[in-house]
Amino acid sequence: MSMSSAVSEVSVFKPTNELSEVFGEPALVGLEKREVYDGFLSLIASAIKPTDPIGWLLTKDVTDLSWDIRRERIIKVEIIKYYQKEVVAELIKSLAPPGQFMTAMYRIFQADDDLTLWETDPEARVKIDEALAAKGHSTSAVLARAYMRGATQIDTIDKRIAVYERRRDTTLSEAGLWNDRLRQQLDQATTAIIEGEFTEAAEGD
Amino acid sequence: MSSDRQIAANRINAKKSTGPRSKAGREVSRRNARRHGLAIDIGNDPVFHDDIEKLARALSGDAHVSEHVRETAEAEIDLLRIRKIRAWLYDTHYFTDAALPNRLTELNESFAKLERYERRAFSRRKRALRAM
Repeated sequence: MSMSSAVSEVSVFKPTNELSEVFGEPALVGLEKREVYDGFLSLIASAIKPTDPIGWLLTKDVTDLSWDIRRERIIKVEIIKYYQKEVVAELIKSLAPPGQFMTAMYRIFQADDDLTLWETDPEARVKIDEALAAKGHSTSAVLARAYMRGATQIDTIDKRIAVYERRRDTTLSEAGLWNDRLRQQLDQATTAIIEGEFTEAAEGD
Repeated sequence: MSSDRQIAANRINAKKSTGPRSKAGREVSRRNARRHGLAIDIGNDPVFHDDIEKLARALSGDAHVSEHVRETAEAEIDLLRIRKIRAWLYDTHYFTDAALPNRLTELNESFAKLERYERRAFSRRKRALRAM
């Protein structure tokens, strides 16, 4: 079950108006939607059922950190896709028909179109991937090259994700010190959330 | 745990650390806080005064606001402020027309600078919550 569908199945949990005012607008970027964030917060809150302001503060923190992790994972997928395309753009030239003239014509007039097809048309992508594999460039080899090219950026994102995950764990521990019931509920809620993060990031939102 | 001797040595060394001494050095140091405002103690920033008060009252159940409650509120508002700055950095550096590697380089550099402020605010809130 994706996070979006899970959100629609729970009743809406909101902090008090006073706390909502203090929390202010959520820190969203790009095309992130307010209603999706509110649903995400509501999903976590419905599992935890915070009863006091500290409970809400920690719930909001777990939500924000989970949101940050989800965002970083989506960016990581974008990086891999970017370098995957870059690698394919280079390799696709090897699909030119034989002969000096035909090779030149393919590279000038056809290679870019095929790259666009590879990116936008799933059926054409399968055929191009097969053709590349026949030339010794399997899909996994292309992916490996993409990872190598984006290694520095992927590593930076992985470190950031690790920091956010540690902070989320710390928040869960704080919740445990504050209220044992809250810690157990936060723990159970975040297991579902973490699984949701992977699904959403893989789907590329 | 530090021994008494270590604590005494730390205190002596701390007295030697008076920050920049030259006029130019002090000027640079003074401007650090103005660059993004994060070096300024949020408790002394009038912009956040009302939010800190409101949150501190909510956390203490409208009873007397203790020092630790106020510190929790300050650290929480600081965290929310830092997350908004981070969102602004995404919009400024990542969601642009520049090539992806360039966008990421700028974003990562900005985040590295922001990280120490977030780490500090997070630790501060943790300490204050435990003391509550």
